[in-house]
Amino acid sequence: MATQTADALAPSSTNGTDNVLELRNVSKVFGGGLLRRNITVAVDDVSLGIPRENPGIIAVAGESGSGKTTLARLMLGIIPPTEGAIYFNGHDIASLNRSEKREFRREVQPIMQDPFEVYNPFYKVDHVMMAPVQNFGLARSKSEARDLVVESLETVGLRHQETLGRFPHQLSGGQRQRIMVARALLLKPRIIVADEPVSMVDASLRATILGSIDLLNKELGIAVIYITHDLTTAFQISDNIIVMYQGSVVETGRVEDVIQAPQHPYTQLLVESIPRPNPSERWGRDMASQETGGASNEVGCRFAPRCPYVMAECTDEMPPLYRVGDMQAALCYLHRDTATGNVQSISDVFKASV
Amino acid sequence: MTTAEVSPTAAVNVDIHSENVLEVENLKVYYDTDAGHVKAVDDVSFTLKRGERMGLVGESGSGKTTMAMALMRLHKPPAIIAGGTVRLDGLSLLDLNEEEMRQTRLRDIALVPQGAMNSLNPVYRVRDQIIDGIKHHTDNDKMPNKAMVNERVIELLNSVGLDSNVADMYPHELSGGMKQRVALAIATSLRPKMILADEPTSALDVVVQRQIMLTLEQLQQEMQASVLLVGHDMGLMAQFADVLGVMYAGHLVEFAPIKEIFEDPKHPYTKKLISSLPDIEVKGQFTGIDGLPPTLVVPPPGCRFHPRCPIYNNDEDFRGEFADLRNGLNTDLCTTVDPHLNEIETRRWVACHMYERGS
Repeated sequence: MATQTADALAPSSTNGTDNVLELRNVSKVFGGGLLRRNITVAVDDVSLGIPRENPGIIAVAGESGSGKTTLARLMLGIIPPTEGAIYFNGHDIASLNRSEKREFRREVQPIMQDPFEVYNPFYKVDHVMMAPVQNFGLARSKSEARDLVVESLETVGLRHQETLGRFPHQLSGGQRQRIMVARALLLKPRIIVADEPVSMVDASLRATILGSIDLLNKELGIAVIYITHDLTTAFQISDNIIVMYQGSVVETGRVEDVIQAPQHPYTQLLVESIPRPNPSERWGRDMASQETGGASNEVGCRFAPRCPYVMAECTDEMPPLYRVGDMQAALCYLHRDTATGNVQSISDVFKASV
Repeated sequence: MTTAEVSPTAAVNVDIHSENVLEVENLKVYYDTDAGHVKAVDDVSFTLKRGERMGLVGESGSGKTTMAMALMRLHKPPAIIAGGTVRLDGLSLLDLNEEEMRQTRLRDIALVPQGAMNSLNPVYRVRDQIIDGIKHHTDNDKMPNKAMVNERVIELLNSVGLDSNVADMYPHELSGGMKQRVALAIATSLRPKMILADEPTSALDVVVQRQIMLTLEQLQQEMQASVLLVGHDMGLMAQFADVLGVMYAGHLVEFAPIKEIFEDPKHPYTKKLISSLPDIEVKGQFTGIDGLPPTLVVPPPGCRFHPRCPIYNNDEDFRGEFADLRNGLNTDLCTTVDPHLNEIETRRWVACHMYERGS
């Protein structure tokens, strides 16, 4: 990748709007080095644009080891891609100048999985909330800073009387997680990358927290990348979904299409395995004795060793991302003859958010 | 699968003098703290039949895990059993001495722990971990010879869907799902009457989760063992359980066959819990339960759910369906009297004042 930062390099728009963040052929490989052993392709050739207007909520779903968290860390600029580049407002994030970098750090905000780990137990909530206000100079006076904090707490449904002045351990898990949302909100970001934000909280609170994330998107137009292993909540709150398996995007598109009519054998297996909350609709009983361990392919489709429809070509070469519908694409040779072309950027099949 | 009818192959060593394998009566587990007794499990009673699979759900802090651990007397200080009885096939577990209780564990009631990752010893091969359990629960003179024990290890591994060569592996060589299968093999090694599984798949992916749960079901049916599955995932309960217990703030508030509880939940909390479950059929029916679970140091007076109760608070959404029941409800009771768990229909237990009139 050349290192010029000229705007001339700015990526072209994918669907008529310009992108806040754009990934172009991004891959991340771990390991290797001198010994050339144990190479893991954590993210394999992902192209994706997040539009400035009506960005919607994008779910990134997959099991552990699928590369979904690596993708999140790439988007946050925490780790650099091995190949390809990530553009923020048209500039490669690898070569942003000081003020651009600062802007990037403010506009792309993380919400992490476990609020217990994020908090310093010796600091009160006030400190957690005030630090970003001070660091980014968001307020001119103490009282203005406090107003900002109170406002963002209220946006996520927290009363400042019940949160400010308290230590993290005096709050419930749901409150702590919502404080993280409020903190991200303070900075008025354009993009929030939420990595498993509700996996540590009870079901009854899950809806409330996801509700506050949904609100950030719908009311404030913030793009949300929702990283999860839970297809049900992904279905409920997102507009579009990316399903990953061992570093590959195996299926993507409008969430209703992907979840209700999955086209990749892996997505089908995932959807079939969701424990549906209906005792009259139980799992098929056919797979109790299988062990999934199976080593993955070095070349070709990663899912081939587990795939019930595996064909000769699957282990020879990675299939392209076939367009299998207006708003759906699958990385599987089963669709070679019926597909209406290949998809270059994942967001080409995304439903525009309303 | 709710009856005690057993297949002829599995019933050989089963003592059928009682249909109930587990009888829990008025169990109380308190945490002894400076601030006083925290009643983590308060007056819980239920019965579990032979070969039956029971689910136990509740929010974190509801007391579900504390209760499950107390059944095996594996509760940790400052938790103390403050009262009640636990009978396993007639044997009163709370009256056993430590050694007798140790013998009963694994042999009669076995635990499949949460996250087997941490329950296996990292420096022992799988084979030795399985043998360890068998050895500690078998008299020296009755211990089968080495070849027979090894054969049993292989048989157990195969029964949980693992290859024989796993016997010679160390835990770090296994995936999360494989470790959980080893934990299943250990738990079933002595063909217990009851298996207690505490969120056995909470750290696993949905595909592996499904495989593990189906394997557990297969083993349980083959042995005619009863299972108590503790968790918070109502979807998993719907897939696995025959009967479901719902805990709220230390109380068992509802207990019923799984289909009935999903189709017609009686307790307002269960009702809320089930109507708040997201599915992949319809978008936008995703709501939570307002308010927070109460602190158990000073629980709300009367019914512990009343501050969040849609009936007590007369929520619009619930007016139609519960109109008749609510009309007859004296809401003063909700704030003053802790409701008892009553059997209002056969095997339908509920602790709510709406159902108490006439009794």
